[in-house]
Amino acid sequence: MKTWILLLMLGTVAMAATVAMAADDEVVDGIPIDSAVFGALKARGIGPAVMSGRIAALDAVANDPRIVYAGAATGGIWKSDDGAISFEPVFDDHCQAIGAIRIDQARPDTVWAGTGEIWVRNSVSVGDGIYKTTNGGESWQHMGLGETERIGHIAIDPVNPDIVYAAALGHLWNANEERGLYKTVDGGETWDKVLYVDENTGCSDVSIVPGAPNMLFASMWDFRRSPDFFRSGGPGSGLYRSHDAGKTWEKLTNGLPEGELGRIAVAVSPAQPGRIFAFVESDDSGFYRSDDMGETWQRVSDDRGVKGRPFYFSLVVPDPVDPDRVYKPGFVIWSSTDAGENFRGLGGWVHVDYHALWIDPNDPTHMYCGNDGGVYVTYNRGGSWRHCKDLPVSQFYRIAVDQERPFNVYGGLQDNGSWRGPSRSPGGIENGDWENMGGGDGFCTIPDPQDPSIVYWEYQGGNVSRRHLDTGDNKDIQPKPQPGDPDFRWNWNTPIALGVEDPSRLYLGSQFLFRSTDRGDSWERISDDLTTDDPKLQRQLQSGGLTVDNTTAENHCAIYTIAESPLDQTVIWAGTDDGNLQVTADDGASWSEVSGKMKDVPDGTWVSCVEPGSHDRATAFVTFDGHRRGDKTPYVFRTDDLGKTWQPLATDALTGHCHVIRQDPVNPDLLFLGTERGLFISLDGGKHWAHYNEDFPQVSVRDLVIQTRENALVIGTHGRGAWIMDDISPLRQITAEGLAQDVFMLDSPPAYQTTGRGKQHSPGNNYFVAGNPSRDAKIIYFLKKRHMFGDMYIEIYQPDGTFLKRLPAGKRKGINVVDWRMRLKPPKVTSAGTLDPMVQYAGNVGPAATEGTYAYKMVKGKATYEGAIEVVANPDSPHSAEDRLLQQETVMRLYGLLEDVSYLAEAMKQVRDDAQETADDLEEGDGLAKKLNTFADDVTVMKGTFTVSEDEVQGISGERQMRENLIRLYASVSQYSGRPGESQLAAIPVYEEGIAEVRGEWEAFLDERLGDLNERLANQEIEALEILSEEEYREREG
Amino acid sequence: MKKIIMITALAAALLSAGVVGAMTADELIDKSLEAQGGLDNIKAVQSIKATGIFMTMGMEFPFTMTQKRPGLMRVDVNINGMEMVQVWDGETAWTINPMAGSAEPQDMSPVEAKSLKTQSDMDGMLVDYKKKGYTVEYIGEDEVEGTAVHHLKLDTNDDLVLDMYFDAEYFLLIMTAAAMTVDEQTINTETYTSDFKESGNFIAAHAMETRMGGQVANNIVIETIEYDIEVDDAIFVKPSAE
Repeated sequence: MKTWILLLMLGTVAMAATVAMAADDEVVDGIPIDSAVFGALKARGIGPAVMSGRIAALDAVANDPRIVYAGAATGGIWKSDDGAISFEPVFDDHCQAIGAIRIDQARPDTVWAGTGEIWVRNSVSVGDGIYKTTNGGESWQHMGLGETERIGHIAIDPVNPDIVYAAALGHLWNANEERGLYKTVDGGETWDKVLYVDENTGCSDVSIVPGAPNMLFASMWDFRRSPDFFRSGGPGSGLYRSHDAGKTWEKLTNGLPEGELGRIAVAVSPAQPGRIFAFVESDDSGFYRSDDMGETWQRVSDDRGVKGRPFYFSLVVPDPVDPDRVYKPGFVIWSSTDAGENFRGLGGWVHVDYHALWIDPNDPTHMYCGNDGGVYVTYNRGGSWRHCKDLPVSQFYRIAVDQERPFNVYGGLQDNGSWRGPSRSPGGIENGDWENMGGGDGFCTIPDPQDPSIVYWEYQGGNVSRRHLDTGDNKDIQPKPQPGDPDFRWNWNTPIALGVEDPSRLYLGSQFLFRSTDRGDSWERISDDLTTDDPKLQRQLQSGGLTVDNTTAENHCAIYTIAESPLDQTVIWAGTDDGNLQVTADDGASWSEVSGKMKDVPDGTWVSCVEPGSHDRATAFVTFDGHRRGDKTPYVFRTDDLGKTWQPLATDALTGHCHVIRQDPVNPDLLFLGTERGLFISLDGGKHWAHYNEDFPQVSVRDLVIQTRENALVIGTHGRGAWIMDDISPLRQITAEGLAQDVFMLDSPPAYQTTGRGKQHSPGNNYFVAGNPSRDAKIIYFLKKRHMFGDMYIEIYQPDGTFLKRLPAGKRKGINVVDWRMRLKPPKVTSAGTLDPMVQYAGNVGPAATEGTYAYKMVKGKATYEGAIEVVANPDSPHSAEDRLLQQETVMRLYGLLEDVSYLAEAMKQVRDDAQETADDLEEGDGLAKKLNTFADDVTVMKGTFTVSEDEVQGISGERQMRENLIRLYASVSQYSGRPGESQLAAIPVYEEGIAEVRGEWEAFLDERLGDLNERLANQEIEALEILSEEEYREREG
Repeated sequence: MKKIIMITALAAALLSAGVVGAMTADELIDKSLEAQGGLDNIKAVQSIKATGIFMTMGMEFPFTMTQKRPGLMRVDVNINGMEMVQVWDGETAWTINPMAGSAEPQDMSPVEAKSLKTQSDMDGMLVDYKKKGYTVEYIGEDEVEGTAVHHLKLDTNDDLVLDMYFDAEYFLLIMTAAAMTVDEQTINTETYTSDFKESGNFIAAHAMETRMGGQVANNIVIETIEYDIEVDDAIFVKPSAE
């Protein structure tokens, strides 16, 4: 056995050697990395969940409605098994855009998920097919339909659940054949397209007749979107029925509108055979009902509210029990109790914009709904609702930070306004910590760097305001056209930017670039029309197709991204949504359009981000996003000559169309890229990219900002809220040579002691709280492979060289971060029957490690690696060095006294217990037993003079003696990092005297009594009573 | 050079699963038992005594663990000078926990008892799993903290399901995950094993890290392991109440 293992190891070593030799032959260019490099470098999601976010699909288990799956439009799938009190994300390894969820009610551990957003507003994401889980969401398999882009409805045959229908809407922005109604009969292994009209028409709904599953209804929808325009409706749309499980279909027309149709929702009533409801968009949209299995239709309602935005609100949900009840979730939930003839909107203090509704078939007053504010539960048919506060699926568009301590994160959310939240908060970052800055759809939300009480924010369509947080005042600062000016075209997501050198320079972009130096009170136009101003691309007023829908969402030919160079404020970049990239090097006097210099990018491709370099004024990075014209290619470029020439930076490692790129201000080769599929990082200026995805979901990353003081990367996701990677400094240090080593030690950032604050409240489990960043000191290193064989641990040494502590080391592949709490060993405070938090504190939290250099050694097998951590003064500390030093010395003085008095208590206890035990072993009445017990009692009395006896107290006595008071003094002095109070300092000599007194008494007592007692024991050949030595006591743990 | 190539080839043959591919549950189990030291050696051991340190919340407590066939186990942990004891005596689990205020032996809760019982299986749960009434399933290839692994699911059919992850190169167990339900609350526990060293006829892990809900709950470092020492059965017997 041994030799086999030896051979194994030799073999591995030999193989490694040959591999290494081969590597030497090629010169590695750049720093090739994969996702595993990032290792333990984590990002934490900070929410917000207070307003939750857009839910696109919902399903629950009929026989146990505590089990709910919620599909966020771009935030993944969340599962609850406690009735929507708390949720866990279960789909984070996959595409986060969810269109449909369908539980196989016969085997509820099997759930189908269709990806891609189906409520196809301008901001929607893309999917990559259909997935299935058979273990309740623990793992999912991709089951095909990868090119459909969005799947909106899934229906499972109630008799044979291996037969599943998937309604694929298909590509939104271009013609494509992968759409229509698909069917599988083998549980998803293979699919057939059973209903197809043409490459422009997708399947928008499907409904099976529960009592006769060969009978189905499906609707087909002809639609297309482009950057400035949306068309719902066309010749391909229609309502279809099949009698033979999808083999053949007939188009239904009797009683339905003539002419072109738009989006149609169809739903079979489970409560009455033959009853079908449909909502049909046409040039006169209406709510329809059939009572003869779809042969003939009646128009039963043309209620204005029910007809609102038919391309977007197209869902009909019949009550499972009452055939006359039917719901149409839309702006509100419209409810009818007379089979669709009359509707009223449901109430409750809830968000608007509904896209999902589930009704409990065993109790239809119990419902779950999903809208733009998350998931709600009702037990009275929608009279009142409980909001789930544990779903952080907010959709950021843009993100910003300030320089407060701790810093705050600002950003605008889809349909949920503009918000500010802290990066750290006592007890964690919770819903209540987020503050609303403004309403509508939020986009740029930027704090004024010179006055933290001012925030610039906007709602859709360029409605920019300046809010004064102290007074609540809000000023509309949007520049208005003067006589003679053309209309200003504001992109729905209007860019606001600030100068870096001079943050009083405030920029705003319509088709013109504006700048203000008085916080928006007045504006100077510093450019001509920077866009193409192509009238063919400005159709937003007619946008909608059959139903006009002009909400500024399709505003086009406007500036989308603005940035001033941090190194030269006369260099300003502006990118437009119609593909122009403009740069000025003379503060706006003249502009050059340079997008044409990039041959690989089709003309007119939307410029999503321009990021001037922070190391060279002539450098800039740019991302293009062509998805709104059907082009999902990742486009990333770099220039070092103000746009004259460009290098492409996209590699095969990138997936998803690109939104944002940032260059690290410290290491110019460190780049962060946000795409529709998440975050990508390059350590070599874009030669190689790796997906940051181990614990970070594949969610659309729309914006990024680096908080330079804290070395933190703040990530604005569209669907999973804001995330913070608290320390990016390890990434700055990685080199190709380092990655080739087995172990590569990285620098520890300076660490300092902090005093945390807790929070005393218990909000229940229906509440989202994000963790705070760790304030521990860190030992950081890179391992090429997971550590398997031999010891591995870290030893920390005090500034004077003495050994302090051994820590378990991180063993994983990639970057490891080992936390050291910077505390010395807690004093020995033997447990007492007490709830006193001071005693708990003293016993568990050692004294803070003082400022100084702490060397460490990492042992890994036979090798040793060394480094050091600097523990420095807390930069926020208001205390002088002298006061801090006094505090630290006082703590150690008290620490020593505590150890002394605890030793005495323990020594007494031990010999007292020994004496009693010895006495118990003797025969009753034995004189020696009596002597022993007397001895024990006397020790108990002596002990009782200075410490509460834990074994004699049952319950919580609240009694305190000298030792307990000393513990509390120690805890008090420890918990304040500044100068101890005068009375605290004055108390110390008193304790010193008191302890000396006890010690004197104890030693005298032993002198007098112990020798004699032990002699008697010896005479009876009984083991002597021993006194615990101080050395032995100090060696004990805790 | 020739020697190195030969050894390399031999190692490659032995490491034939270096070409990571799907396998059956039994194949994976066989490979993992081989990697530990082989089924024969495992079954030959009559008793084990291990010492080490249990680290939690910044504190360290020395412990001793003693196991003896058939399925007896005792753990002694020194906490603040007090001895805490946990024992599985083949039928029940009992403990003496001075931290709870009493020096009397107490019975452990059914959940704790189940956990202790599985730990007392000296051969490990995979040996003779069928006889023990367990079912196993090879789930597939996966990654644990960036390292390629094979994932095996073991169901005790007694309310305990373990996900076991074996390093794809060495077939040593590097992580075990379980969802423990205590009082209606489900806590995900993961135990990461490393620091594998030769020990007797075996390759044994000498470091374990347990995380609950993603946070590190404790670390264990094993310092010594002795095999086939004399163990008095009396140490497993629950002392009668005084």
